[in-house]
Amino acid sequence: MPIMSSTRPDSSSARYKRFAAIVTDLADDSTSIPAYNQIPVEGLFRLMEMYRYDAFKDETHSGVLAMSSASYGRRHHQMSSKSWHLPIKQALDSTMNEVFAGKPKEDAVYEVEIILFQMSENAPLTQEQQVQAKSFFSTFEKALVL
Amino acid sequence: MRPVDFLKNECENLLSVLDQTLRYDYGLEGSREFYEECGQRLEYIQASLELVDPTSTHIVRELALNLEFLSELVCRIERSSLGEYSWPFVEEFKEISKALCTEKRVLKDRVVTRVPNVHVIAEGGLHTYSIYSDANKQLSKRRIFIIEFPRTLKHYVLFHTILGHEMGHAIYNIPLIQNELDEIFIENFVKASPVFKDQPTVVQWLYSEAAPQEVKARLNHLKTEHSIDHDDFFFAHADYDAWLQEFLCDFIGLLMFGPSFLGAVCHLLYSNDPLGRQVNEEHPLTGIRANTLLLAAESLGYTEWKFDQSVQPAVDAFWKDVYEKQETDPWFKVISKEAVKITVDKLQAFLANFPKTLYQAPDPENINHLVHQILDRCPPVGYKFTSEGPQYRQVDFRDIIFAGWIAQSQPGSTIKFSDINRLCEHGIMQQVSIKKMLENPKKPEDNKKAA
Repeated sequence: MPIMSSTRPDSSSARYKRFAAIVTDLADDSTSIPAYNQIPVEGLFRLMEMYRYDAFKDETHSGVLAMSSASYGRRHHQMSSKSWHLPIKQALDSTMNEVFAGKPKEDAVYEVEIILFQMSENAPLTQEQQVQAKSFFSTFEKALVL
Repeated sequence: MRPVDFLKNECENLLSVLDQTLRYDYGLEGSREFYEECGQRLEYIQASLELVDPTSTHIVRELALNLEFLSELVCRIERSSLGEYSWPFVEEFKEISKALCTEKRVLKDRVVTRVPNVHVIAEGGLHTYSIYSDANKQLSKRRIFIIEFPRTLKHYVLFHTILGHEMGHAIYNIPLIQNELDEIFIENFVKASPVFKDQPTVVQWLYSEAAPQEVKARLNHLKTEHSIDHDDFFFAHADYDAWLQEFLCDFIGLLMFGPSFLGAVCHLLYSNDPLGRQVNEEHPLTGIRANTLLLAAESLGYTEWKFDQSVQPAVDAFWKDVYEKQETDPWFKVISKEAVKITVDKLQAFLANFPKTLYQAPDPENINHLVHQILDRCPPVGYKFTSEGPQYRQVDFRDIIFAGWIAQSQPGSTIKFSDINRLCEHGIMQQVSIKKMLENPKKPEDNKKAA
């Protein structure tokens, strides 16, 4: 038996909270984002994709057969729960309402994704995009309660 | 030492392990991309540890978990090397994997793509086959996919087709694809099944009087040993969504590898469940999967393919073997053939968007030639020596594998299954050279230069 518990609680809310805080800061100058800080940018892009398509089944898989309990995927699977995304989706819904009040979801998601895409390319944001990015991600960060 | 300081120290340790991964030969493309991606993940964790408020326990714990996952990933890669898996198969499979697993992001007027890192490792035995893919919620810049082969089945390329199923799981994690696959599968398969349409109906069916004795015994065991009964079967024991995803991924595997996938399923899935009637947590009963796959194979016309009369008896024997797994008990009929046909046709149309993904109906003459090469104990390749000199042609590696399955069913043949696998593996490797040669034919001036 291992000395520490091998159960891994889901920590997605903490991760996205941190991602949102970092990206809020990065929006000040999107032209010189270091490679390692592209991780929160990509992470938030993937989250927006899950939100866009309502596709939150985000599991790693254990193998083609019913066994393989010692495999990486199986153990990693433990951290996943079916409802991991609910508080995050709720935080995104409320952020969308606050920042993009009245705008169709598809258009609002597009505006956020295009900002993240430009950041991933180290391309400059317009002043309007900067304001929007800061507003969106700081609101999202606050909406995520740990 | 505070937890944050301990984690910073662990980052240093992991960095030195990561440096060692560059020493080994992992594949034709080397390990630099993998090293860079993991290095950036580590750098991100290190930078976060420098900035984090040490009293912010949620964030510190989150970073610790990330570090642990990363260590596990790096250590597994570090232990694996090129000599432990069938690299000819891998190089072909990687091509399909990259095409399928590239993340496409549709931003109104443009499409942005993110190509993943595909890595291969070998470990464990029979049940190792899997594809690990970074979850969306995990730390990653470029996603990493790890294709995992059983170390013991290194050369068994005929079995490796089972990875088509795993590829289904891997692509299902991409939100755009998940959305489209769900639309096809839920509408046409789940809603059309009188058994799988919802959880209560599945439970009713499982616990019905008509269920086979093995199923009843297992359910009884769950009740007496674990206090799991019909009202909490899907809460305490099995995962309904996972069961559904297994059917979907079986169809994807079949569409990707054709009848060879069924050959692999019929051997591997029954290896730890000889009757195919085990009630598992994440997988529906093997017997149901085999029945559903057979319906799909029939719908796709595989069972009607005709070959040369010298090969047809082996093809018939192959299908006879496969049909032996079919469950005829009406309890196992969970969906109509029509519903399966509509589902696989739509999945086929969807997968046709990805180059090289679908297995195409083989040319009978080509299969005939490949099968005879195997039976003559030669690697099956697109090469023939004629009176006009050598003739080369393109051959899909999946045709080589299908020829292998046919050859192993050849009545009266004494060639061992392991030898057929080795021959096919060599065939795939040699075919890569033929492909390159056909793509870049030698010009007359090259001969002059050589002279």
